[in-house]
Amino acid sequence: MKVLDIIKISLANLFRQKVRTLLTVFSIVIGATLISLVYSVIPGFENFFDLQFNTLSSPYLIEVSPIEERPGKVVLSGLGNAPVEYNEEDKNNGSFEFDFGSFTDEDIQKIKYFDGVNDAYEPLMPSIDYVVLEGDTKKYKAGFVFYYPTFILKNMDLVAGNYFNKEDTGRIIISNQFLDSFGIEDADDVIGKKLVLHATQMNINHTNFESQETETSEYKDFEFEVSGVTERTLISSAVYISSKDAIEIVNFVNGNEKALTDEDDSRQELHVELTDPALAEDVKNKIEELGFTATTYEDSKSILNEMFNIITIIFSSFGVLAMAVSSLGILNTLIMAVMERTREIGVMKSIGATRINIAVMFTLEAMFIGLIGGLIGLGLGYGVSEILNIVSHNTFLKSFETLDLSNFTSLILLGPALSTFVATIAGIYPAVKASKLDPVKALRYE
Amino acid sequence: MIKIKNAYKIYKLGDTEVKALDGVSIEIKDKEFIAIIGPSGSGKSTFLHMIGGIDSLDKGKVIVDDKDLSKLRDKELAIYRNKMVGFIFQQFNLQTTYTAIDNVKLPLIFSGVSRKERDRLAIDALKKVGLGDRMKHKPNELSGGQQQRVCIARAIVNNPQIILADEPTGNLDSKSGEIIIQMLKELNKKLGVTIVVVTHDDRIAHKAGRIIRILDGKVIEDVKNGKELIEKHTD
Repeated sequence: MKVLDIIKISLANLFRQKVRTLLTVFSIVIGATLISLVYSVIPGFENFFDLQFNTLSSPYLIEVSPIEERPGKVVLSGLGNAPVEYNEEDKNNGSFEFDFGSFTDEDIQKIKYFDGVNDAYEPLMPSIDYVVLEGDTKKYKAGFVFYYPTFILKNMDLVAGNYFNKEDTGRIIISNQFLDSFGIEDADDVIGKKLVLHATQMNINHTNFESQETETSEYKDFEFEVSGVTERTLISSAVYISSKDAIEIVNFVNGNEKALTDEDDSRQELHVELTDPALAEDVKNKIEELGFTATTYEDSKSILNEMFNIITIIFSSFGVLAMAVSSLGILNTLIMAVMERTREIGVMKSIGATRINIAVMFTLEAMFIGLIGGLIGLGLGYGVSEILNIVSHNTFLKSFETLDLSNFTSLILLGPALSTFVATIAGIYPAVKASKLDPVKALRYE
Repeated sequence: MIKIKNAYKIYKLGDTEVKALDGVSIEIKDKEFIAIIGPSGSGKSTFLHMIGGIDSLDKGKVIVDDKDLSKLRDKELAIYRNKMVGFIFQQFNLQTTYTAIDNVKLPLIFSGVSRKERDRLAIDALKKVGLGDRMKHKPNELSGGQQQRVCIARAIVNNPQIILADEPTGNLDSKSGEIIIQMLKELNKKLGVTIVVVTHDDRIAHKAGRIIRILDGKVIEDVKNGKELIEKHTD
């Protein structure tokens, strides 16, 4: 028997009971649509967050923190357990305490001289009150004032202007969304303008500490020239300044000159620039030998990827569950078909069909139910994601053109592939049952 | 040449055992026209099913052209049923959703004949049974006699050596039955096909060259002169 003939017969048999077949197909469509939708939408988010992640990270980067024990480890391991006996020598005594530690110049020098390390920078985040643009009276909040080393900063594209170097002072790069607040349409128009960062010095009255009284006294305006405007990213109210400027603002706000000196006990982050991303693991190990926690680009990325994998698995498992349920429908449909066609099977056998012919015929019927359902589901899933994409970009995702909610990748074919597979499996039992029918009994079946 | 040697077949109907074949040994020569007669439940159909290779024996052998059917595997048996034998049923057993020509093509599909050749052979077979103008009709658009002729066309389309007919006129009026009998006779005479017919129909028995009478699974009479036996039992 020829393959094409067997396919034709199976397809013809499938649509003998049109309503029943279509209902069974429909039940498969639900699961397949869900899976196709998930695999159309999620890669878009994944790409988007990947891009966002890459704007402030780099394969050349290792983030180092002086915390050896990640916070939570001690606390979490105690959850649900009976209280343990107090031990005077145990560092983890006390209710809830972590030693965050702080870098010293010596630590940083050591790390800088490791093989594979190009440089080490301490990112600073001075705290300011607001920004004002030259010629404007309105004050805007700047959520973040960052100093980032150039090699990281350069991963973010500029829509206008230029990057500056580590030592460049008085220059500032602003987030794209500031243009919306300033009411400026052309990013080039803002380049070269003056931007003032207003900071307040916190003078804590230590003698009056018990009453928690704080007194604010001094203000200072730091003037910058806008050097660049970034692409649109999720960090929408950030400004980026040089290391020197950042230190100056931090020192002013703290009212001392301790920033990034050994007297500063809050030096808790270090950006290590590698000469070659391939050396990341080696350098990481060396840094950890010093008692610090190091996170490579790959580490951070794998956390992000894992998160998306979990989301994908959760959502697609709903689809798989729906498919598993509908496979029972397929089983039912085919068992009915075998019963209805018992006599016919007897005739087919008596005119030359082999057991395998019969089994393949019924298995193919099941497979086609899965395939048709899967393909309809693929169309629906992709269609819904396309609509979602259009609607969302006209409404709540207006600012994020790079977030594509409808992605036609090979992953989307998983829906029809899975539905075909599940259906085929469901078809095996009825198919075997049909193939084993005794032709004499089958011919007598009423 | 069909040789049945010491064939036993027992069916269980609830607690009782029915001996469908009880030590049957018989030889059927090529080109014979044989009528199997006997009361219901005597084992006539079982006899036919054994020769057709759709039922197996509990004991004994069915040898067709030196091939022991019990030794054939499923695929070989399927080929045997497809090429050597043609079945004709009392209920016609046509695929109701297929047209006449598609029904006739079915055995050719199982034997893997090319589409072009299939069309030619099926048209040819339908013309032989006088249904050249009813090829695109579905079974429910045909009379009982016409349906039985489609069934004959399906049985002969692969040029089998043996035709096995189980009460072929049982569901037909006498005129249609007559046509069917005539066709079987012609197949036997002109094409030299061996014909084994299970029947209650005296007219068929009259036309047969040999009559085998079965009772309780045993061959109780096996005569060449059909007329004599019929008259003997109808008197």
